[in-house]
Amino acid sequence: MSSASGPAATLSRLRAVAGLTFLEAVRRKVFLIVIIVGAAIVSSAAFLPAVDPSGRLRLIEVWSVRTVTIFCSLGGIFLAGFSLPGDFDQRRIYTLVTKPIHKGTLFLGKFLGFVLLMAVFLLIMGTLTLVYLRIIAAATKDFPEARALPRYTPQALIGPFEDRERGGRGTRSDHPDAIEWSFEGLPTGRFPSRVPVTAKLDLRRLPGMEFRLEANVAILAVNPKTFEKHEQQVRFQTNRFTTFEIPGSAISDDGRLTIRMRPGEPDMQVAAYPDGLTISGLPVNFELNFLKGMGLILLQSTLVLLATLSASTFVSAPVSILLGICLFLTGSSWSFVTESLEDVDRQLRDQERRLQEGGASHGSDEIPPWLLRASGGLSRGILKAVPNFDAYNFGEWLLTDTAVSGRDAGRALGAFAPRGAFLLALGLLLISLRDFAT
Amino acid sequence: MENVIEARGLTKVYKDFWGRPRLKALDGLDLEVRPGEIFGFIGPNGSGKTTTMKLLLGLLFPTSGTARVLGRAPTDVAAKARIGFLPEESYLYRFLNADETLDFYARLFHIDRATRRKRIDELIARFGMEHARKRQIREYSKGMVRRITFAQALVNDPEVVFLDEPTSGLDPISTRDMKDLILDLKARGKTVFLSSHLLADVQAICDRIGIIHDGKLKEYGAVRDILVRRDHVALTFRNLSDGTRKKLVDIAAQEGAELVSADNTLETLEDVFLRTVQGAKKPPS
Repeated sequence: MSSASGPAATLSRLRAVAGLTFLEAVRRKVFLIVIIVGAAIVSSAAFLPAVDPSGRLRLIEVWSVRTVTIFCSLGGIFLAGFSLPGDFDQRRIYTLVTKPIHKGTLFLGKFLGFVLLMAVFLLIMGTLTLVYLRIIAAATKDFPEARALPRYTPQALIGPFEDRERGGRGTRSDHPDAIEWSFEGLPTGRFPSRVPVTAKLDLRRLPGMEFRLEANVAILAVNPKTFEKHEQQVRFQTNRFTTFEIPGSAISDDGRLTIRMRPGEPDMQVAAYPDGLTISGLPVNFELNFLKGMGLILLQSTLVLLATLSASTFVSAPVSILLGICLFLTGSSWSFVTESLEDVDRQLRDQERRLQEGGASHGSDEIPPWLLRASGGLSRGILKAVPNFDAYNFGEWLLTDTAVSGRDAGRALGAFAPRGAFLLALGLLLISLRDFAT
Repeated sequence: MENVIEARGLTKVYKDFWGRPRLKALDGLDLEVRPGEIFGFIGPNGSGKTTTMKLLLGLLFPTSGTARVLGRAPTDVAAKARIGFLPEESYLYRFLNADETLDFYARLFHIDRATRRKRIDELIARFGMEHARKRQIREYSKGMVRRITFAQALVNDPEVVFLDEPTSGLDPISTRDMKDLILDLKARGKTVFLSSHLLADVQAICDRIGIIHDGKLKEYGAVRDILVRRDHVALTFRNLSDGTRKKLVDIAAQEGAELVSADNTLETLEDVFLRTVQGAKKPPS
């Protein structure tokens, strides 16, 4: 017999438990059922209404990815929720922890087994989706090519006027300065001869600052090294993404680019936010990008899985599953809750103003301020603990033909790592503290 | 010689959700099990047998007192590498077959592949499971599951084996097999801690016993020392005539002894059952 302790022994035990966890799901047909149902739902996109081939492509992509995300996360929640409590309730834990294995190794082995299971599931479902897309593309006339374009965002946005609400900048027809986006470190040679630029602008009429539905905007693309300039007028709709093109030569050979915008009409303000403009590079391999997207989904599902598995070391299966589902729903509706909190803040400000003016803080049909503050505080606390699952929502990338960039992956990983580490540590601590009385 | 198992003042109080004492399952237990012996631990249901075993295996944390197995704390991984445990019920993964089950548990001991294969083959043969080794455990009878559960307890060739009701749910033939196997373990120098409420089995195979009741050890020592009645003597004769028997009784009466019984000796039911069933068994075709 080999040594009972040491890294090699621990690794061997981890592999044994992870392998068992994987095998259990396979033998219990859980895996097969999830894949069959998932594949059926993915292919059901063919029966959903779509106005044109382009719409159908979006529908298949987004429908598939959303389905896979939900199945992967919920599958992880249910498998993890029942696994350790099942071992405790059916007392298999007796034959496990009386072997030379730390309870923490058992927890970690289960976790790795489930992550492996989800990774294989995503790989299979991703492959099925890609194959399905190819089949539909071959069978449909004028079906657009599925693309993934790398998008680059500017390092800085400057402008003479400040938009106080969201950190935006603006300029006016009577002001000499433009708003200016600066890019640095762009990968030269990875742009087409005509570079697509997508921007969203806030257009207002002066002096009253009313919204303008649409207006002309003067655009100047400048190569910061050669000072070569390309000027054009583009018709923008307010607060809607508009795409135009600039010559690839506007990007300097050291990867820099400047884009300036001014009102193209008198008595007007043009404003934008730092994330309001992107430029697109040459398309990257769609399949590889899809794999990256599956990686994002895996990160989200792993987080939900970890929360459920950690909870299941201490509470019953139904409670831990409920916690996992709550995390999934909260993370998925993060943006919505954040927007609602802005409404709450606005309402609180209104109530304070009314009080200062000597009136009642709230009417009989309004929520009292203490309740708004309490619910707002609670929601903020929850939002601090739960990451925004938009960072893992690969469907959003697909909707805009955007490739998953290293920065996107880094942001998703950055949101995942501290929470994942915390949940892992919590699970390890909880299982090491518990005994097995029943 | 160092004791294989030691308990000193071992106490376990179960508490409710709020941390209030609910039940004192074990009360200051002192116990020693020596190397190479079969120690029988008996007591009625709810007396504290299983709690003791769980404490000795590190499944429970004691409220007070200490337990040592092979000189180490029961939760010590190095100690666990040298013990085997057969639980009262067979708690196995039902979707695995016998081979996979034993391989999984052997891997937890970090046993290399060749040794694993050899030992699994031996155990499968020893427990007569060759015909079912590739079938999933959920298809097994209760006796087959019990045998595989016993096999997993021996997969690491342990120095000390904890057996909780090892014959639970077994027919008399399998029960006899189990007893032979326990005696074989002793013959190979293993220490056996046997918890059972089948007193005849315990009496037949144990060197020393402990009787627990209400969480306290009431009797503790060698089987013969505990069972012997020093004021009673039984003589067994073969072919004794009625006349001689009467003379012996008279002599004893003159000495002031009281005759308690004078019957023919009986075989045990187990002996008769085994002889009957095994005698009727046809050789396998």
